[in-house]
Amino acid sequence: MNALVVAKRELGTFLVSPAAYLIGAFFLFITGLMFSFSITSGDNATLSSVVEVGGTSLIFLIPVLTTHLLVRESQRGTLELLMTAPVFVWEIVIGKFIAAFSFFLLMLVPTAVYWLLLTLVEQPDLPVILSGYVGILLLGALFISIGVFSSSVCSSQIVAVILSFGLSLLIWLLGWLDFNFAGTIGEIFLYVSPQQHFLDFTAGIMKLSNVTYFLSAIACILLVTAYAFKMRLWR
Amino acid sequence: MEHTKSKGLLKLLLFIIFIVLLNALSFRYDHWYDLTEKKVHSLSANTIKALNGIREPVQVHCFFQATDDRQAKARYHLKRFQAYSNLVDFQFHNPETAFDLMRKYNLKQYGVVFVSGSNEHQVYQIDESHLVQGLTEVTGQKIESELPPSSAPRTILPTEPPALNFFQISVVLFISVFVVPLAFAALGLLVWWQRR
Repeated sequence: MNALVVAKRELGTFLVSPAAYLIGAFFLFITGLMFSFSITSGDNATLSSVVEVGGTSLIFLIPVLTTHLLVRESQRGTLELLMTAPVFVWEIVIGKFIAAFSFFLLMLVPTAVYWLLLTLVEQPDLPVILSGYVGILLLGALFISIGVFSSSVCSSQIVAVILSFGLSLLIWLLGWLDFNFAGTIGEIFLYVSPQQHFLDFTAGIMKLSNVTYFLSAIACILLVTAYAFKMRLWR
Repeated sequence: MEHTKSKGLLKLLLFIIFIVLLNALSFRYDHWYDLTEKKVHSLSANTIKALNGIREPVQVHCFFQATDDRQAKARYHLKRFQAYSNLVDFQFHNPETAFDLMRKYNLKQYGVVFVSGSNEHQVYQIDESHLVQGLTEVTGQKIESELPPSSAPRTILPTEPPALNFFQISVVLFISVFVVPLAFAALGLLVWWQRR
């Protein structure tokens, strides 16, 4: 499938980019710091505070990680080449998404050290830890899809970062607006924001609606990205 | 070209509508699993009994300031209640604008008011036991209370000492804050060095 070919090529770009590793190192530094605090406070059997802080930090880190995905094609002048290639636009978008998500998975792998260190202190609540990881994976995938979208509509990497960060922060903070709007509107704001959905995962609550929210939001954003990118190619 | 554009836009709109409907359905018919070892997110047997015994609609009005952490606790518990009984309906009100409502229920401080028919009950301590008590008071149910007797002496549990000594904490700090991130960064530097 062409999407996997695109993903493999783009993942190769990630793996040879020192900047991507620095972003990963910063993410591990933040989560490592939180782990150290939590292990001394006794609130550590579920790693929930580590996952929560890690998830929140993605609002800032993912936009930087994903900014180049489609912008670089425009900057290098390879957009026209893409138009003639035997590959659909949605395959390009999915491929770029898979590549970024794969690198994000790579960033999460070293956090297994926290779990190993935790086993030396107490019996970790493994189902809750796994639930937290599912949550951070889904949240990361959501922010990556926003990053891919921003990268597809901008010609400059800096503008793409700002747009991606702005959109990620906006939907995150929507969850705080429910207080100002009573009733159904408040509930809608709370539902549209990934905050509460993510926090449920970190607390060890696996809800069908949370999984539906993340998967459908990611699919929706990627579809909009494919449409927007196609319109851009045709211009 | 224009026809293809509008066709694509129509497909996109239909997909978004489908997604919205799917989410509305999953919200309405939600199901959840408590993965914690001690089942801290599961309701107690008494609570489930109380919720299953509700026969009339119960309105729950919550009055909390934005910075009050009881708001999140109340929402959490009331959502769990709703999963068992769709006769429980709750609303959050901004106390800085909902003066009339607060006066109507004669609320002395911020909290939760349960209303069912002509019965009202106010709850200020936000936890499962107190909220269930509020529910049973307005629905007229007689369920054994899980609240500790008020005459029982309140004991303050001694703080547990940390499981790690200073050396162990230092090792954990060193590995998680320095070794792991630096190792990852070193991988990137190695890649950059090889490409030079």
